[in-house]
Amino acid sequence: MKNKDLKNIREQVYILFSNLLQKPNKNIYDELKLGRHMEIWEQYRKISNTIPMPKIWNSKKFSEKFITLERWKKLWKKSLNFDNPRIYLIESVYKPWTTDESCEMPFAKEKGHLLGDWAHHMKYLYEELGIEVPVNFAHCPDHLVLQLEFMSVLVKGGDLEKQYSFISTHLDWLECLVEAAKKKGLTKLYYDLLIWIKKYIDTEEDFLENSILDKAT
Amino acid sequence: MSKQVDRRNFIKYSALAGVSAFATLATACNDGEAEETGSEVQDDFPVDEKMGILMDNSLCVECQACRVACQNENELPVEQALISFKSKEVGSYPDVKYHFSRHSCMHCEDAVCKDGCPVDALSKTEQGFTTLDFESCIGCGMCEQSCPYGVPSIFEEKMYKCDACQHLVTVGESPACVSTCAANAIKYGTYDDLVKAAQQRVETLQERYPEASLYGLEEQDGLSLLLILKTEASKLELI
Amino acid sequence: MSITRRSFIKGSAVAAGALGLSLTGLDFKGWAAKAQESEVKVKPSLCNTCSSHCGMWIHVKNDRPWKVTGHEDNMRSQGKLCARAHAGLYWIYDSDRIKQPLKRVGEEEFESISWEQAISEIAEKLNDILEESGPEAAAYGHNPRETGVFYGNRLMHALGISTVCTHNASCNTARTLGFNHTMGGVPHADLSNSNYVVLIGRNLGGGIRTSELIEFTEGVKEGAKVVCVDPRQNDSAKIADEWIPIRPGTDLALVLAMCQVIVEEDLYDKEFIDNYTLDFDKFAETLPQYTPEWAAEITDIEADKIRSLARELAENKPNCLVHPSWKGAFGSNYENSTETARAVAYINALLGNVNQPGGLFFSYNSPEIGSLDTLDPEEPQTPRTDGVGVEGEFPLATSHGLPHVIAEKAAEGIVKSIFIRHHNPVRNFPDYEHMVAGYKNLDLLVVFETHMSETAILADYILPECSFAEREEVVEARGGADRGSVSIRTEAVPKVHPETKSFDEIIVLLAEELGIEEYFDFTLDEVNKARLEPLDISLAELKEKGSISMELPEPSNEVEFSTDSGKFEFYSEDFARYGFSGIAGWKEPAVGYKTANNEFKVIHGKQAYHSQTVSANIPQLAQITKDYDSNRIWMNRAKAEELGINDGDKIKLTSPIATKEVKVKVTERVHPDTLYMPAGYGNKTPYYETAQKIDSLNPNDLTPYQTESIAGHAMMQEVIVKAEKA
Ligand code: SF4
Ligand code: SF4
Ligand code: SF4
Ligand code: SF4
Repeated sequence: MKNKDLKNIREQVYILFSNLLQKPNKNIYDELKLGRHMEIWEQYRKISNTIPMPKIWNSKKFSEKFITLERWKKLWKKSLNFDNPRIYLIESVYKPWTTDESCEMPFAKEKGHLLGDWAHHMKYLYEELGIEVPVNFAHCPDHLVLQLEFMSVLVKGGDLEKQYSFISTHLDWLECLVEAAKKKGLTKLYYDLLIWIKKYIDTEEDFLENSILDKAT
Repeated sequence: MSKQVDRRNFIKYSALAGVSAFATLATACNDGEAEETGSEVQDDFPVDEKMGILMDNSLCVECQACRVACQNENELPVEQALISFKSKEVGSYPDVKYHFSRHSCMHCEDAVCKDGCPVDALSKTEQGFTTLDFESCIGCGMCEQSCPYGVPSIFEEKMYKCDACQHLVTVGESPACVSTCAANAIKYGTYDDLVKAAQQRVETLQERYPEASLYGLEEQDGLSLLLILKTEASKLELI
Repeated sequence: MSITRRSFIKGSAVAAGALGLSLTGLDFKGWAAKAQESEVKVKPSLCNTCSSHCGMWIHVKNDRPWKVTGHEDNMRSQGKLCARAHAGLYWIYDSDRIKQPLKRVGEEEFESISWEQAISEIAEKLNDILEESGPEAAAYGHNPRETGVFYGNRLMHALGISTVCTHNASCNTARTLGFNHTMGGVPHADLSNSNYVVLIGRNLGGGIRTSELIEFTEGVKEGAKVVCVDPRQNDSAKIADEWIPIRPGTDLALVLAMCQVIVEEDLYDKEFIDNYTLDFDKFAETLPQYTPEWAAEITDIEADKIRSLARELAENKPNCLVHPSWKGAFGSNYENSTETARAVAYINALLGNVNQPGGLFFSYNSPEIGSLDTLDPEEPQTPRTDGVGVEGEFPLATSHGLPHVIAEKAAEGIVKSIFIRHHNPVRNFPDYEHMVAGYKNLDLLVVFETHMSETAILADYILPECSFAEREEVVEARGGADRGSVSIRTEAVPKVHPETKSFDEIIVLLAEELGIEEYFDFTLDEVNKARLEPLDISLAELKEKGSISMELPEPSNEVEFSTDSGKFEFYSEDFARYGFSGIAGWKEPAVGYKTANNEFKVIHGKQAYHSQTVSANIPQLAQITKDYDSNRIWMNRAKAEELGINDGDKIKLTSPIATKEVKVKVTERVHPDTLYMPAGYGNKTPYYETAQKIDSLNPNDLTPYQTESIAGHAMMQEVIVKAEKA
């Protein structure tokens, strides 16, 4: 496969995942029904054969008999909705609030709080680039949906080192997320999706690390 | 110098100047009567004299403000408190007395905790406090075993105990527990002044509580945390 | 082959693949190191972990709070803060805050909606209710502080709604009513200058208001003799000279007997009685029956003790006091609480301590606050639905209102709409099921909140407020002996959740939608400027300093009461008119004063590190509970031995409405007939995960719904339980 195709497909996967975590709508439902996501994933698997797509995300499941659009929306609302989700898809929630040694807040090193250093760094990145994010993300510029999309942008830009830097500092919390999802009994549809994303990110990290090493030698 | 002190120096208080300006302002419009309540001007303690903390347990209500202020000031994990209270009921209903005292590092002159530490993480400061180099501490627990008061607490491979708010006292400010106490129960000052004040207070207390005592003049060659007690120290099993 | 990109992030850099970003920018560690160098700024605020509003500095770095310290120039804090203030910062970044307006779509199931939708639906529903059932069908409940009173009451009055309630019927309305009808108000206790202080149930070391603890301990240090009367040895008793245990609900007998001794032995201040009081003789006539021997049988305090206490107190007159209390023993606890409050006023009158150093002060001054020149709604004349001021119901009850009665009226379908702010009546009044049943039956329950409290989870609409550190509020003034202060909350940190709003913003939106915007024709800044006008302080200066203290005239020693007669009234015409006793006299608690062998009265009271049930979810405070195992119920040791109960055992308590289990602390420090349960536990909301880890008994789950006959309060401690080993 050519480098350009590889880049393109990786970008697509990030967009796909970001989209799957968002609130379902008719458009994406139809695309899933058509199996667009499976096509993308097949393409990607030509490069990295390790991760199978979870069965529950097979396009056949997105039918009148199984997951209707209405039901999908309900599942999303129960699991990931923005305001009262069962689990938070937010980096700060899973990491120490700040790495600032002089912070005197008792929860400085605790987890579970919004707008930690991680969020502030994301905000800084958006500002540097003149990127705007919707106002309802103000308390969570480090939301996974945004981070996956941001990663797609970096992939498009083509600089592997930047991608590696981002993935290794801002997407290293997915294990905790999966653990939390398990503990809170997240619906299978989304639990499997999170595992899927986590495995993909792990593979990506290895891939980027190796590519950079290769380039160096 | 311990790591914490260095670390604090990063903090730059832009508006702090403003704060003390209000304080002066308030005093000014008070016609100098602000001193009437005995409230210390907290910002200009000596930094090179022998200092101490005086805990008057006859005024403390165990409200735990000092504990939580200390946790915030010293960036402690929620599970770690450098101040706790030991208490005991004496007698039986209805003639029951409730004796208690603050329990935290006594800042012993002869700090045996220090002697046992294999990495020399503990030391005495010029002001007389026992401090810990957090970075060097390996959490081995030797100090925990040697301290006569059972003060050091090991948590996630580090030792925790009161260091008399080094980052504050070395710049002439009061420790956090002292600043927050609304019960007039904790004082910070030069050691000699505190001893005098404490002896006076104990004398007054003895009129009503004949067993009232001052703990810390002799013990471990002298403690920089002095305790005023309404009873004898032995009744509190301090030693 | 691609998927339609649904994009949240927008900007030209996106198309360019973020080429403009350098690798260094992506380096988190480098960024964090630089961020660490930022300055710490101090921003003024007012604490919100209880409702005392102590002044504080929030130390802020990179827009986030670092710690708090007490504000020197605020009368409530005087530079000090209690444990809850430090720990309360947790609330700002807690991930469980309410972030968007929520609408109920099922049992405890909510959907987030826009502000436009929320406001328009609420206004429409409220208008329908007002049209169909009139303003009597609507009510407002809150913890009354400046902003809630100014904006909330104004909205209600503009709508003709008269039923405005506060939490006080579970707190101190009996005390207030009793003092109003004798002294014409509640005085300030001059604790720091007193020679002799009797505290009846008032726990200054546990129910903390910072300034009062400062004054109290100054008094103790100066040598005041302090006597604590309480069925349990409370936190004040730790530093008091004497603890006198008493049977719950019998404080009235003790006070009457002390009055009897003081009058019989001629120890009272005759000059004061002659010059400043009315109907002393009528009172004196009732006294012979109240001998110490009589009271001893009721209170379980020896007659000689009562005698010596009365004598010692009188010896110290006028520089002594019996504390007017707060919730303590007679705020809202028993059927006889209003009468106890009147009796406490009587005994202070006998001591002639009014406006005397170390006594009770009415003459404290307060900074003079201005008011905005604008169209004020008229106070509505509609009768109050909770029965306050209504003949045949609670004609004498204070305007603080009766939220528990409202719940009853809601269950009956009479009240249809309630707005609640900074208040959690469903959990904090007796009989949870009763409160839930009422609040669930409402057509429209709107709750203004930051967190999912027990009341919020029943709401039809939840309107998210920003936290105390993110909002500006109405300027407040506090008085004192010869100093006072004005203060304000400021926006110390930027809003965490952009879709949250401050109370004044929400009320203005509602007013516009309800078509009564003419009453809100001003900004918050204009309100505050007008309030500061007489003081010659600019709003900008106050916002920067947060609190400003000022000298006030010394309180005068002249005696004048705000009663109708201008004198202290032993006999109350009002009480007599409505069939109550003109002179306060003995009245039994509703459940009697004695208990059988395995029966107990359950009392509760605050711990210094919790505020009702609102703070149990704060990790640092919950940790204190864990460390001291302090969510257990206290049982007297001898009684425990009789019942075969050991320290740490679980016991089963059966009351007329429920059976509950709770762990026991066996102690010598509580009266044998009494179980003391620290307040602040037993959250029912599933959203407070930390609180669940220290979950314990809430006495409100044992006490039935009831109303006291004069003040109408909730009689929080009128319950007898049977105890056995679980
Ligand atoms: S703050 Fe003061 S009163 Fe409260 S526990 Fe500490 S020493 Fe005691
Ligand atoms: S109390 Fe213990 S830890 Fe503190 S100085 Fe003495 S020996 Fe060391
Ligand atoms: S002196 Fe400082 S470190 Fe020591 S207990 Fe007080 S606040 Fe904590
Ligand atoms: S008494 Fe404590 S919790 Fe209440 S406002 Fe003051 S500092 Fe805050």
